[in-house]
Parts: sequence; structure tokens; C-alpha cells
Amino acid sequence: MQQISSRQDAQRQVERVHDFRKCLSELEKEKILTLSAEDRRRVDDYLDHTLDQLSKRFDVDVTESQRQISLGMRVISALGGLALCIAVFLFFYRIWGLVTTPVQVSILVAVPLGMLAATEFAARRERTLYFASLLAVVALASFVLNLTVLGTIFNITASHRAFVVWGAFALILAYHYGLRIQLTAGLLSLLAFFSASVMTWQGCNWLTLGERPENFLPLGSILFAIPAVRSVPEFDPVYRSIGALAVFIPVLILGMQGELSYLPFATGTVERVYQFVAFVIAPVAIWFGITRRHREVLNLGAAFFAIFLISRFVAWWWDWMPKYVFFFVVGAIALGLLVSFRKLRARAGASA
Amino acid sequence: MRYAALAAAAGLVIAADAFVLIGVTRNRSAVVDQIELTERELQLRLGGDENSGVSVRIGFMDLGNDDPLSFTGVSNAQEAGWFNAAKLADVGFDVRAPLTDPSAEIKYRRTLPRDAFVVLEYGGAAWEAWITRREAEIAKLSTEAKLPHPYDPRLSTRLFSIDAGGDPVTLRRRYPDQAKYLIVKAVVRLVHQRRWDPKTSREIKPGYLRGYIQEIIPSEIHVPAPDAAGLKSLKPRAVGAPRYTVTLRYGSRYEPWVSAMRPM
Repeated sequence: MQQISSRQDAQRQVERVHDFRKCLSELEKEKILTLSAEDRRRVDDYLDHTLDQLSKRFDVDVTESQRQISLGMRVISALGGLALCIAVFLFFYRIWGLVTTPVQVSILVAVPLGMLAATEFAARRERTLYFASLLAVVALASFVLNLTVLGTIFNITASHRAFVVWGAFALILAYHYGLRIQLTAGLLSLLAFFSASVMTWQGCNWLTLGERPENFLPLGSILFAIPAVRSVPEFDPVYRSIGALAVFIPVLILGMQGELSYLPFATGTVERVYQFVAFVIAPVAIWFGITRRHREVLNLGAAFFAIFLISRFVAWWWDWMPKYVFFFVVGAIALGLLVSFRKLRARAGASA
Repeated sequence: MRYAALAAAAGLVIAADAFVLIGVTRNRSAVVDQIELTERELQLRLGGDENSGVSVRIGFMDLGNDDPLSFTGVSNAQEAGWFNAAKLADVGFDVRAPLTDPSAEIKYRRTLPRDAFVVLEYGGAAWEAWITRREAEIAKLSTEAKLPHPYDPRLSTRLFSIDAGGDPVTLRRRYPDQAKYLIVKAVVRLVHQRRWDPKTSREIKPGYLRGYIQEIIPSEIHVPAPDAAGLKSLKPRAVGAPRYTVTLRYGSRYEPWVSAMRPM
């Protein structure tokens, strides 16, 4: 068995074992390959042993029912984490007016530290990390509460620097435990910090961080490129997804609201520039996703292209076309795209 | 090694909190402003069942060139008040584009809010001018309606914004009386104001630039536990008379705190 170091790799190995078994059964059924009873037993023993080892070492899902239950557990973990975060916030706001300032500060410092300890305890006891993931979300929310409420208690001017601290905290947890939710939160915090910093460098209030969408383009591009430079297989899709969204969303907004741009052109010109950019980057993203087999890039690129096209069709045609013609044209274009994708798919299959 | 990441995360929490608390201590070690205000200027904010915290909200009037409480609801002002283009430039806005330039309106409309310092005058000339005008308006309305008007403008806030700038020290030199002038952080906006001629019902070009105070920072001031209990136990406000006075202090970072609360 090849060297396996992570739970994700182990799960992929389980899938390969199942695929191999299916393929072997097909070959035997079609009488293309016939193994002797002895050989068949040895193959089965080897595969069973492999699954058993993977299950013991990484607590992976080796059956379909286990996989279904795991999916349910992930949903419960996410919802439970959200509910616990809300509970922590509400509990604190319920009691903070009843205690003195030193007690308030002590609670605010103790809760994230306690949650960190609880996350570590859970991670040590359970390899699937469902409980650790849930507690890590609560730890991050507690830290957000910590700085937010300290700011309120001492009437401190809110600062965008909090984003970099929250981002660093989330990234430490993400890399330590291999948690994608924490990585997502960390990258979003860093994007917010970067955009707010650019606004403050211009003398604007940091809360205007969303008023110039172009601020997100450089960091979005860097995040997208990080997996190509330093790959961490389980995190690469998150980097590419957040990076792609940090580019797609600003381009979409600027294609509709050119007045939000830094470009020193008339609003209409800016909008046309970004509409052109959207027409270029969406197919490039789809092509990139297909050729490099990055499903998340392909899906986001296709979704972006669809939303962009619909927004353009509405802007161009909605007012002057009869509505039935408008929807007919949109439907016809969708059919055209389906045909193109089908050809692309066939070509991809032939070249594989 | 296993504990290194955990120690880093815990260290980050402790370091961030230490940084905040050191900042608070430094702010409070030097009082740059101290003023006593009443419930008229600091309205009580109770959180309800789900929030036991208590805070007071700074209420001030930003008349500028426009009077938001004008009974007519329409301003026909033909020029900016104190927060004019020169003050906007002091705050850091780029106001060089001439208003006669057709692209100027688009440029100014794209301008984003900036951080600034604002001077709030307590019970001074701005308030006296406003109260005189308002009482005259009320008297006229009462005479017309042949009924006493229920609104008493003297129960409204007496804090009026009168100046703004980028440097609080310069502003303090200009307004040295700490008991009367409060210097606060604020977010300010540039407004490209169109002018309207009520006689001809037509727009007069070009317009003019004026500043607008979007928000005082912080606009809500937390009241710590002992004083909060005192505020919660107050009887309901009788005919608008203020029920308490609060001594507000501002530190070196222009962050305020409640130093004393006294029922009236």
C-alpha cells in the first residue's frame, strides 16, 4: 500500500479499492478475466485488510452507509457550531451588564482559551474531527466576541486590524487540525483586512472596505495562485475557490456599477471594460478547471458566467424585447452552451 | 511540536487582549477633554431582556447649511454653512475640481467618507441661535392653531457641531474651553448639494459642496456596572426633564469613558 499521511488520502484510497472491486466484478462477469478461487480469495483478503487498516488508522468511511452518516454528521457539526456560537454571544450579552468590568474581561479572555483547550481535547479523542471542528468554530466566534466586546466596554474606535488577528487565529487552527471552515474564515478575514487597509491608506474610513471592489483583485489573484506554488491537497480547492470569488464578484459588480472603480474613465466605459474582462475570465476559468481537473474552479466559473450572462441579457434586452422573446433567447443560448459543453466534454474524454 | 500551534493560537488571544488593554490604559492616563452632559445630550440605551448592558448615545445637531428639524422639511439654503468646501479640504477631501465642470458632480458623488475630528459646542451661540429661531416658529404655529405647541425645544440636545478638521490639537487651540467644546472623532462625508430656487421652482447651477457628519465615533458609550445599575433604577422620564448628568472624559486617543453619573 502506498504511503498515506492524511485522512483525505485514506478516503481516496478507499474509493480506489471500491472502484477496483467493481471493475474486477465487471471483468469477471464479462468473462474477460477469470481468477482462480485461490487468487480471488487472496485479492479479497488483501483488499479487506487494506480497508480494515485504513479504517483503524484514519477512521474513514469504508461503506456507503457510513459515508451517508458522515455526511449527516458534517451537517450536524456545522449547524451545531453555528448554534453554539449564537448561544455564546447571547449568553454573554445576557449577563455582561450584571458583572463588573474585570469579570467581563476575564470571561472574554477565558472563553476562547477554554474553547481552544476543548478543541485540542476533542481532536485527541476523535480522529474524524467532527467535534473538534465544531469546537474550533466556537473558539473562533469567542475570539471575535472577545475583541468586539472589549472594544464596546472600553469605547475603543473600531479598527480593521482585528481582521488580521482573527484571520491569523483561524489559519493557525486550520493548519493545525486540517479544517477547511477555519481556512475559509481566515482567508475572508485577510481579504477584508487588505481591502480596509487600502481604504485607510487613502484616508477613508475602514468601513468603506467594500466600496472599491478592485481592492479585492490583487489578493484574490494571489490566493488563487497559492496552490500552484505551495500545494496542500486538502486546502487547495479552498484557496482556489476564495481566490476565484474575490475576482469574479468584483468584476461582476464593476460591470454593473462602474462608478465604484478607481479607473479614471466615464462610468459607462469602466462598465464596458469589466464586461469585457468578465467575458474573457469566465471561459478561461472553465477551461482551466477542465484541463487541470479543478472541479471547484469549473463550477464557480460556470456559475459566474451564467450569472454574468443573465445580468447582461437583462440590461440589454429586458426593456425593449417582449418578455416571451427574452426568455426564448435566453433558453436558446442555454441550449447553445449545452451543445458547446457537450463537445468540450467529448473532447476531454477522448484526450484522457 | 504538537503544542506549538496551540500555544501560538492562545498566545495570539492573550497578546491581542494585552494590546487592547495597554491601549485603554494609555488612553485613560491622559485626560484631554472632560465635560458634564445631561440626559438631553446622552440618551439612555437599555438592551432589553436579551442584553443587560447599558449605554448612552451622544445626541448632537449637525445643522451645517441645512436644518434637519425644519418644520417645512425643505431647505432652500443657497450656500454651505460652516462645513463648507474650505473645511472639507481641511479634513482631507479633494475639492479642486471646479463645480462648473460637468464631470465634477460625478467625481464628487464618488467621494468616500473620511475620518476627521469634529468640535461639538455645548449650549453655546449655535444652540442659542437655533433655540431663538425654533421658539419663534413654535410661537407662530401656536398662534395660528390657537393651541399651545407640545414640543419644547429646550429639552433637546444642546450639543451642536460647529467645526471640523484633521488635527485635534489645532482644533483645541482654536476652542480652548473644555467645559464648552468637546472634540470627538467622526466619519464625515462630502455632499455635492444642488441648489433649488423656490420662486422659479428650478435648479440653480452650479451647486455647492458641503460636509455632512455621518457618525460620531463612538456614538454609543458603554456605562460600567455600578453606574449602569443607577441608570436602570431611574424612574420614567417626567415631561422630558433630564434625570441624570454624566461626566464624560476623553483620553489621549479620543476614546471616551463615563467617569461619574449623578441623578438630577
